[in-house]
Amino acid sequence: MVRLFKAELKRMWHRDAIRWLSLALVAALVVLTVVLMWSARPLSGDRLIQAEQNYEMAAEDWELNGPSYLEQCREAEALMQKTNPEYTNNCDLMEGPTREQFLQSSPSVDVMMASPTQGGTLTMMGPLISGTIIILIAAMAIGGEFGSGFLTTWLTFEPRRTLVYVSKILAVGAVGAVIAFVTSLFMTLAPILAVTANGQGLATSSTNFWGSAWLPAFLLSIVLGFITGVASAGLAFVLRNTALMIGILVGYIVLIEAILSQAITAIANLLLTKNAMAILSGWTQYPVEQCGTNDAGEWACQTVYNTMGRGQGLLYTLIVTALCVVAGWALFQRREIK
Amino acid sequence: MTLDSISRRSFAIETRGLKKMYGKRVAVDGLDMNVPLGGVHGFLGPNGSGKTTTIRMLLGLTTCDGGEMNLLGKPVPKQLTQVIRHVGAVVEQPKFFAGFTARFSLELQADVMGLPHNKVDEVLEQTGLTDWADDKYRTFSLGMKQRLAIAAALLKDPELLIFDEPTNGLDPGGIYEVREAIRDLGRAGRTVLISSHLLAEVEQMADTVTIIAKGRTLAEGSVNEITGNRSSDLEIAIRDPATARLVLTHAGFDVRSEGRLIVVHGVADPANVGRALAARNMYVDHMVRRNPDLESVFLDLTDGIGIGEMAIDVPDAPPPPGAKRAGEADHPRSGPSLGPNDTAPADSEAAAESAAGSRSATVLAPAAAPRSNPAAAQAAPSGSRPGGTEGTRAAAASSAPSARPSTAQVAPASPSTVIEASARGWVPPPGHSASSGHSVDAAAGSHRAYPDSGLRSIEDGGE
Repeated sequence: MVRLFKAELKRMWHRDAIRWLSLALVAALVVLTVVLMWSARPLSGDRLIQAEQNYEMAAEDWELNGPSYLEQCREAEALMQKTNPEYTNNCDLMEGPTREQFLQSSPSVDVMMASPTQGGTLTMMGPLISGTIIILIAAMAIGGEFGSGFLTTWLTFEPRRTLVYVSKILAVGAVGAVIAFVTSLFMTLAPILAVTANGQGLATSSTNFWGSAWLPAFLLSIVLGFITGVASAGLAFVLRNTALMIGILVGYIVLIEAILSQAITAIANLLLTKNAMAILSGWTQYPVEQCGTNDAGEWACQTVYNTMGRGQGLLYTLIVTALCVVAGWALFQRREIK
Repeated sequence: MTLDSISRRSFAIETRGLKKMYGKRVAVDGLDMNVPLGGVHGFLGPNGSGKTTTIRMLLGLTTCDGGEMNLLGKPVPKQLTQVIRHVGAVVEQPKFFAGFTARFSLELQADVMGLPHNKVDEVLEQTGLTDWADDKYRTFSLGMKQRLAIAAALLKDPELLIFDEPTNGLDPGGIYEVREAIRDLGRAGRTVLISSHLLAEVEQMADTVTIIAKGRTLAEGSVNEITGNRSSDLEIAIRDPATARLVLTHAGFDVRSEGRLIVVHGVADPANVGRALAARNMYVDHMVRRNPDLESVFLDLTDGIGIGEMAIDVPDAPPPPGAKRAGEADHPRSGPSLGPNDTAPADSEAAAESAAGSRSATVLAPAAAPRSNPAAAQAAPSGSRPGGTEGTRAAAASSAPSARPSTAQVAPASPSTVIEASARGWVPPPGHSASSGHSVDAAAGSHRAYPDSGLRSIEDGGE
């Protein structure tokens, strides 16, 4: 088993397509780092003047319309409270713009790394990039073996299919873990480089960020990379074709993640990206539309945000992985290898 | 290699009643095969006859739907893992990653087997790939790819090598290289199973063969025995071929025209033909025996005649140790039984007439001797077993309920017996060999003897 596993790793490393993908990953990470540094640079010259003008316009608007904005907020809150008495828009917290808001150059390093809404390099961009690369590698590694017929040769050396299967999915999993590690490292270093290049310190906006948020996210991203590799390899054994697997990946991202999830909010908690985000960030929210008759007897709908915890995300991801692995194994046991 | 020698030893590969279905389509239908240890064994059959499927089942690449298989004495797929280390195989085309070098491809496989990398150098040297060891597979010619596949198969230093259509797509040079490599392996004492539909290739390599069609075994034995058991044709050039044909047909010969030539089928004694013509003052310009090669035997076995027509009643005798006769498992014998020393049944002549063109009957029963060769039948007494027929086995088709293959060990006589006997009856001029593989140049009045290869084609025998 160890020999098989080592041979699989060696073979994957020597595959041209996989080397090119690894190179593409590094290139993408370098580009991302540069973009992050560029966008986080301090305001100067025209940008500073523009920011000043923007602030003045916003302040003037608040001066004129602030009271009506506040009133609109309270009316909307009152409407929602008819169906949900605990609902709040936090209208009292509304206040006019400040100069600092417009002139602030970049968020702090922890916000850049962890906040899904402000860059989220470690919890959003990193997993997206590495996940895509891992799935492509699985498609090429496994699909390529079926396509080239090399699997036939391999099985004449080791006919125990379960061993062959396990060694292959573990190898792809291991490669996935390495890719996730490298990506997470970049996604950690990129914000650090960005803030230090701008002369900002490594101060974080939340206390104990490195211990309570960064470390779990970093370690779990590696675990998630492994899981993604294993699940993708299992799926590749089911599909047995590189192009088909890539097609399904693209189709899933476009149809399910981008389009269907917007149309049917009820499936939001089944999205792989949402669950991955819950694992890495510790929690995430997803919108759910709730409809019903309010106190006035009217049919009304409102969007509420449900919270998904890390445990739920992990459980769902493991179930999906187990399904892929078992399906791939069962089919590989029975199928004729050509 | 004869049946006796085969039966006394173990078989490298044995299958019994092997079956494989793809949906409703039967790919392998009760296949029985015995591949003796040592030497090259040809596995012949038309495209789609089930050769590759059989090999895939032996190697565990596909499941079988019935029957038994043994590799080097171990039942597979149950104990495949125990023997796979001793089996090297190339199934269909060589399959490696295009971007890997020959050396790296082999090193990966050596790693899996826990073999040192100097073994890789060794097999590269053996297959003449040392100079290309660090070239990528995608740059290889088909012949080199095939050699790399053979090198991979040799890595394990296997006792048994299985090559599926190894010369497919190769140019003549490549075919020669692969053929020589396979011959060398056989000479080195390894067992090589080579499946092919290229009969001339197999004929040049194989010591023994199994011929299959529609997933069933048709014949099995040594090449010489199988080809030797076929009656040969006689090609004649004569001044008035139309008249000659009439004369010979009238004399009871089976004659056909081929342009200006006439061909007399199933001639055991060319002298009889010469006499028949001379009696009408007709003298041949040129007479050449066309000895049957494996191809003609193969075509004869697999084309034209339905499987059921091959069914014959053959003497009942115990099979050699470890060898169950083809078709036995699925098709119990229902025809008349003959003991080892029994003579042919009383109605054998009628049976022989009906089976004159039948392959298995020709192989196994003296009664099947052509009518035009009565002397031959007399010269082949029941129970005789000339050495040349040893080991030849023909499998009766499973579609025939009465089919029962027999070993030549117990066959009363064989066509080669017939041919040889009749050859003895023909008195050639001094210096002329009566054995197969000779020509008579009547016009020149000279006779030349050819080495008795038993595999000679018309080109070989002609001028």
